[in-house]
Amino acid sequence: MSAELRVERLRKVFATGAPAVDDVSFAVGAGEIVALLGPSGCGKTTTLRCVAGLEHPSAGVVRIGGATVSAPSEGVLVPPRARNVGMVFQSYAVWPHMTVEQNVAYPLRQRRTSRAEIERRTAETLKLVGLSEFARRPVVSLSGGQMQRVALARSLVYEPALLLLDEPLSNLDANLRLRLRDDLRRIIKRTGVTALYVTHDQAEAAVLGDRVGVMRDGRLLQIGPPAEIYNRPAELFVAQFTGASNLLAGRVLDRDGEFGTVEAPSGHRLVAWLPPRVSAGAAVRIAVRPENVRFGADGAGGSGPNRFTARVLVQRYEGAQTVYSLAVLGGKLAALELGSSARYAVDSEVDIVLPPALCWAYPDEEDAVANR
Amino acid sequence: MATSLALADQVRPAPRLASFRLGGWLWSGLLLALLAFLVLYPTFMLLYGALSGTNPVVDGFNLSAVSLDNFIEVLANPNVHFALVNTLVVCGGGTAIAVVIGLGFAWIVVRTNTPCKALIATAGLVPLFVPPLVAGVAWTILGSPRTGLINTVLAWLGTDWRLNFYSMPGLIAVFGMYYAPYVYMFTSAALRNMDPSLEEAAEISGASALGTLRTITFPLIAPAIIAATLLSFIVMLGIYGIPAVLGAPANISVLTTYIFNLTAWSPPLYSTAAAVAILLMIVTGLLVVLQQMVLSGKSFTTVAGKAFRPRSLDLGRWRYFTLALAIVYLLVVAVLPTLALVIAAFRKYLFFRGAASLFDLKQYGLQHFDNLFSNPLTTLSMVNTVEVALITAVAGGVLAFAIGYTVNRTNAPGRRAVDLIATLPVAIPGLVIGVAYLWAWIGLPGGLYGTIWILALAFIARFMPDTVKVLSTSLMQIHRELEEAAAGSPPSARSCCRWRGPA
Amino acid sequence: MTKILTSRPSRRALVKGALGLAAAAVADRAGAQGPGKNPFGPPELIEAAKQEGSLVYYTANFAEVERQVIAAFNKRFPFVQVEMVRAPGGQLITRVKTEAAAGKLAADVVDHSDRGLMLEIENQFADYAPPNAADYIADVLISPKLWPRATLGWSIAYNSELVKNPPKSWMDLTKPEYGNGQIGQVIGPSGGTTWTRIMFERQVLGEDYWRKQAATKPGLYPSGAPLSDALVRGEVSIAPLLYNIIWTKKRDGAPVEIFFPPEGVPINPYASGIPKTASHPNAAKLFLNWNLSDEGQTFMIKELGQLTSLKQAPAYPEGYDPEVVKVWVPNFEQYKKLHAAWMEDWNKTYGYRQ
Ligand SMILES: Nc1ncnc2c1ncn2[C@@H]1O[C@H](COP(=O)(O)OP(=O)(O)OP(=O)(O)O)[C@@H](O)[C@H]1O
Ligand SMILES: [Mg+2]
Repeated sequence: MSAELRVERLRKVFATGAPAVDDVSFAVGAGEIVALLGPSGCGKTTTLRCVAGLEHPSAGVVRIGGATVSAPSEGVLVPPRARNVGMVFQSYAVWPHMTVEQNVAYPLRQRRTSRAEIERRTAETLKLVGLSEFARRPVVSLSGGQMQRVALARSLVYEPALLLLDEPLSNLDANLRLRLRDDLRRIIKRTGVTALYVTHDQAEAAVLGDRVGVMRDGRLLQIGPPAEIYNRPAELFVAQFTGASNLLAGRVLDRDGEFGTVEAPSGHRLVAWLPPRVSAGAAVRIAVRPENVRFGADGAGGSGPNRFTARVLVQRYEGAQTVYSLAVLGGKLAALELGSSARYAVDSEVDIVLPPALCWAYPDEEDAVANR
Repeated sequence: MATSLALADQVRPAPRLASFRLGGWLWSGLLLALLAFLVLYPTFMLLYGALSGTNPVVDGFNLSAVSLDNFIEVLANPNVHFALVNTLVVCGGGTAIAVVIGLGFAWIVVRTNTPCKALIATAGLVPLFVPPLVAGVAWTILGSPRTGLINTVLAWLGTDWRLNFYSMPGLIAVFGMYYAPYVYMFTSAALRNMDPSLEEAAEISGASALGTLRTITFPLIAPAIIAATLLSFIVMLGIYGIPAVLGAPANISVLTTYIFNLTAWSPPLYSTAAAVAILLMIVTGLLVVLQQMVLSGKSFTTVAGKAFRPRSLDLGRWRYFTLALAIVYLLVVAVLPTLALVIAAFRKYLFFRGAASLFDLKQYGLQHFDNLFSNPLTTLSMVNTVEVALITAVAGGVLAFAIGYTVNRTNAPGRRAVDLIATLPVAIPGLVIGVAYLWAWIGLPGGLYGTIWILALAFIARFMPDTVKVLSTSLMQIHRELEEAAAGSPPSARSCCRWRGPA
Repeated sequence: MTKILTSRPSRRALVKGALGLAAAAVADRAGAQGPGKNPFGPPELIEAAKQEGSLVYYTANFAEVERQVIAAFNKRFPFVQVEMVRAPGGQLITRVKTEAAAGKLAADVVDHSDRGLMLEIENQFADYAPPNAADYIADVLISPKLWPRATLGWSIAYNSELVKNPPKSWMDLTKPEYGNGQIGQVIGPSGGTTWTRIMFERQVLGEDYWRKQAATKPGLYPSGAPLSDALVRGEVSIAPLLYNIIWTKKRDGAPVEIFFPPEGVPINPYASGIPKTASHPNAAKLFLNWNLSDEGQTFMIKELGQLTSLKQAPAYPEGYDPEVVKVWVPNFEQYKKLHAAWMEDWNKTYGYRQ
């Protein structure tokens, strides 16, 4: 039932402006969930719509389950209804003139499924999304979260080869979003359908995606398991977009395999992971996630690299966690401490460790996230 | 304006509700009083005339004269039946054509990649600016069975085909063509406000383009279609110019022309005319109520405050076909009639020996213009016309905006009544309304009677429904939430405005 | 036909022509006494009219026609501005009645085609007589307050491009060869002039003339103006029309021919009067005096194709041979009495839905 999706060198240029999708290639294995992550306007939706057939790509090939559904160079363009994909829209797009049941049964009707079969599968799918008791309600009487479940049920009921989701949770409030996020993964996994999930929320991408792809300005920068994206961002943009908000300027003194020594303007040295393209002498910026700043000199026996003494400038208590602004290495560093008791007062001195594997140095010319 | 904005605030529960409530009553009261003077009082005079069979100014008021006899006599008159049936057939047929054309246009403009869409969108509205009488006259010149330009050209082409616009089908066709814009305005707004992903969801679910149209698009814009259908039917009910010119030679009377004839015959039968007019008003009133019920039952907008990316169907080469359709429409409703009128204006006599004589320059001249402009009355009447038009446009526009805003945008008490009363004049044929105004306003103190102000007043009242409807359509398109947001208040919880930013 | 169209100068016509000229000459000298010397009224009246300077003129006649009348009047009396209000007959009467009842009748002169309707509101009008009152045919005078300012006569016209074998009489209009909508007719209930014609048809041409004529399935038009346009355009080929409506079109080159049928020419005198409430009574009198004078009537005959109710016509319209043409004036008693019943008959016979 589920099928592999292959996107090769996909390109979409609209009549106006720069290409919305520019040379994007990736694959989603059968039964896998891939989340496309990126800031607004980076081309996520356009990519998704090209896969669905709602947008006609300018170049590239889209294959679903081995069958080419779109290849402009060969003149192949399969219409959406023949691609056997399901899609969940950001705006729910449930049909307001129908009941919940009618919405869900609609795709089966279009497929001329027998009446009994329609009833069985509709009921089954509604149960899957937990809306059995709402079957006969007019869809407009539901809440936003319920509507989104209807939309999900509607796109799953005919067991499509591929499920496409375009920011399905972004119209919901924060609590519901967290709950539905987990439900969504569970439901998708239970059906085993291949899924391509578009979002601009990195937590959502990490939770939902077996792999995450980060896009920017129409390009796919990096794709990999969430842990890889979070722990080995290939570019400064990826690091920053996924939350590495600390940037420390420096210069590479020497390089040793994957790691190298970087000297900060203050004269301090620290060891950081270097992408292959960075060599000795290069000006770099080191990205560090606030939550990767370790407090205290304990742990590695007090003798490892990247130990510094910092002074607390600002302490922001957030209940379940505390955010500090530290003066260190001739600059400022944000650090996060979990737990409801804040241990360090303003103006106190504190020892910190920046684990080398979690300090990533990128060439200085790479621009950071302007805004997100 | 300030007052109506204050009224808009009532939409949200506010602590100052009570004071708004009072302001609302004052405001509605003011509007109702104005409407009572402009519409209800003349209508009452008409009703009195119809029921008493007398001229209330000449014969004075005498309540004992009021009886239903005159009315019953009118209802039993077979000629009234004939006119009524004709009216229903002509307006029904015309509405059907208007719906087909209007919907087609709306679809082409909003949903396809037809070239020159801006031009088509404008062209679709052209008939709104053509007075019915002018349209009627243009079509007699074009479509008269014996001497119409179209038939002259057909004869020249050697075909035996002839078009006869002095007929029921002719009337229906002209009605349909000229009132399609009402349907177009309503349905294109509905289509534009519809989330395109509703249709995309259907396509992905396996529906064909036609299936999507049938099962999703149509049901969703059905309220707009029904409302537009009723509106164009209502407007057609009140049109005099077209059936007067095209129907008369074939002895096809509709209610409006019948009413006119009653007043034009010698001796004139004004109270019969008034009774028929009341009949027409009742039919129209019922339809207006029905239309309002349809409109209030369902919302036009599916998701508020969101600008949808226009979804345009790639028609491939068929887009030139849709373009051609639009051009043909423009040709038929605007270019051909204008040409006909230009020929009529410059031609000495409208007799065509054959198609060749169309191009006989000796037959053309400026004599009609000479006659027109050598005549001091023309200049005077043009000055008067412009003056009246200005007064009407400004005063009528302000009033219509106040009414449209109150009805569509506020919870002001009595706004339904305001809407209904403001729509009533649609139902009263111009001539009868003229008499009603004469009866009603001649007794006004001061020197108002006999000045152009009285004319302006009559025009304001007469054209209020059209102005209000046009303004309402555009007011309906701006969703309330957008306006509230603009006013600085927080969008309501169910708003689907997208908020972007760090979570 | 040829006989009708050539205007053979008769002895009487010559006499009338001479009289008309003489009258104009006398007027120029603005003499002292009697209608002959003061054809438009005494100098005091003219002076008073000059003081008033304007008048409001309600008419049921065509605006185009009355504009020319006003222009001709202003040629002689440029100091009286005439403001014209034109409305179809029925509406004009209603307006006059309503305005009069409200005490706001603005008219200084009311001019109407239906003498019957005007007689009903006779008491709204002031006593008035023109200086040449005695020259008018007594039969057409229905009230001492109302005067036949205009007199219109019926003729038959045809489109000369379309009709190769034209009719020559009223009876010819019943011939099947002119069937199937070739003939156009103004509807009976359109007003006083048409009522006069259909009364003539029934009383002079025979009880069953309507039936025979209606059998040709004529096209029906609400009034003379659209019918004359239709004739010029060729929508109909033949139509009985008031001579003045179609003659001006022929004069300006329209492809039509007109003749006065030998069986008779029904004529319809208008009724014009000065309301008691007129605020410019002297200007109104002067206006009517001029209209009713030989000069005014001559203008309307020569330039507008009308006839006259003067005992001795000062002129004849082109194509009108007083030796041949038999003028027919309806009996006013019958004109009033027969109207309702006969109109119903006519509507039935012609299938017109009133
Ligand atoms: N139909 C279109 N016509 C022209 N430009 C378009 C069209 N659709 C998208 N674009 C442009 O392509 C770019 C990518 O748009 P897309 O909708 O794919 O972004 P996105 O990543 O989904 O952003 P968001 O998170 O805001 O939804 C944008 O710059 C957008 O302006
Ligand atoms: Mg998007």
